Amino acid sequence: MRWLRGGILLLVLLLAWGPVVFLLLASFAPGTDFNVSFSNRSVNAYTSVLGLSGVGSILLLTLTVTVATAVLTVVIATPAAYAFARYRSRASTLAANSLLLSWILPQSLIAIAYFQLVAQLNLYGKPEILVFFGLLQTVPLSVWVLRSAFTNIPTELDESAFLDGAGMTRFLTTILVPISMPSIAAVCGYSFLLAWQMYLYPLVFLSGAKTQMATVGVVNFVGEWSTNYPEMMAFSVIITVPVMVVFMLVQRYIVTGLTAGAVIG
Amino acid sequence: MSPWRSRRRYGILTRGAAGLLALPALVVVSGGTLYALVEVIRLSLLHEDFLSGGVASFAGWSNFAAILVNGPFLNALERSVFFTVPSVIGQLCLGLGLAILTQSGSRSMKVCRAAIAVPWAMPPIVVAIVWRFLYLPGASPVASILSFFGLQQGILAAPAWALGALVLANIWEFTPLYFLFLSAGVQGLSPAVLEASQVDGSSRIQQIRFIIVPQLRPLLATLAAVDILSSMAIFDLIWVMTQGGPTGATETGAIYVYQLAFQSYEFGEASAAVVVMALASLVLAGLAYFVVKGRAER
Repeated sequence: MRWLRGGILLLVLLLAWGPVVFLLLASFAPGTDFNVSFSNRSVNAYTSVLGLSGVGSILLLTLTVTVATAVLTVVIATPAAYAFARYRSRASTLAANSLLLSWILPQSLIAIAYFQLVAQLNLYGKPEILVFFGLLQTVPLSVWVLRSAFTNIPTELDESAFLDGAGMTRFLTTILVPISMPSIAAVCGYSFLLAWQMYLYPLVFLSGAKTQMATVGVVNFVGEWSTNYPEMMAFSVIITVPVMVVFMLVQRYIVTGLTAGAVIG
Repeated sequence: MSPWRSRRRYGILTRGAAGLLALPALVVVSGGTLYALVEVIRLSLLHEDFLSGGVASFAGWSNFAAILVNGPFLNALERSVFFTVPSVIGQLCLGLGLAILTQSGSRSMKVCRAAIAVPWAMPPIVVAIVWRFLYLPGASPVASILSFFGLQQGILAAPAWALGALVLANIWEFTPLYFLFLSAGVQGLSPAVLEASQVDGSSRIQQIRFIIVPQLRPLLATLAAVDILSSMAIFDLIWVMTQGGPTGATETGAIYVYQLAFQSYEFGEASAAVVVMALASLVLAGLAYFVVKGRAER
């Protein structure tokens, strides 16, 4: 029984990591042809990709949009989650549920609906608009996760802070957020992941812009540089590493946080 | 006046303070989404010459008639279902199986759980690129196996097989996520109940069938609904791997809607199509939710 389980798990890990290893090997190929083997690898593709003009600004833009989305998610979701945790009524349940609406609708619906307005407001091609679409994706689950975390905090904490004369802002920033750090980390990491992986929104709203998000950038690469496969694979690795690192750092919190949210939801 | 003190208390906060705290999230997310919903319904009822800035005229149900009467959209929607159903079943069954397999609290199983989960962090776009090359003839062991079965020109070029190939890539991509949820669900089960059943002499299979799965049904139902909603809407993976080809064999609802809106600029018809698609997804998700959850109440 034991060796059977070991065998299955080994196979699963092989299947789970095989494509990742495949990508890594292809990215370290010398020359410009597609080839995967363990021998004769080089870092040529990485140095040439990072040397290409435009790649630096693509990565910078992606990082800016992603960090902005993650930070704003926490800033918006924390007070809302606190309100929903501490004020229970039919109206507040309805309000909390209304946040989930954006989660139910397909992204293409939202993109179609906003196309005209974004053009009218002169926001077409501006990365700021991506942060808004990012928030539509990240805030709902974040509020649910944080709400379940805050509900577990005894109200005596709020009351004693109030008796000591703390204002709301002070209470949220110096007491609630620090003691809820694991959940905040989960929300941050989850938002970072979702924003970094956005594809449809930048494809639609940033098309023709000077600098694109990395996801669209790497696919354009397929078209423009189709002869240089190792460079494309290296670019793919470069945009995978940051999210994988973030995910590994907050994985523990994401699991507990998201599950608490999912079970209650 | 302090935000905490009030005559009518539903908790520790006053209504005004709670409303103020929740306001930004409600305005941005609920307001932003409601606007989208109203706008897309409005667009679906208009004939609009969007590009030339012409005046929109009321179209009644003609956009809906246009997409529902002739075949392409309904065929695309059908492909979405054929893409979604096996994906969801595969992801949840594999996720549940692995969650049960790695249930023990030992250190090696902890490492194992983390190792299974990490590939999920790979952006869908990169997954699409990697799998495109995995399926490329002569490029990988996967392609060699496929060419052994007669798919020498590549599985993504074979109309009968391409959608299945996408399902496989999709299962690979999202199984870790559902594994994460289900794993946390399995970890959360009461060990006392499991031990008691062991003492009573139930086998591992019986334990899984009569104790673990029934207790996880509510979680499974939620995950099935969420998974269906997101799978029906998947655009990035399919667009990058096949662009809906070969000969439209992988043109799902999401691909069809994208092309209609952002390549043909038929916003009226595209809005009608996306509304129908969203409704179909909701019905399917609701159905799955009640089927998976329902039996637990007996």
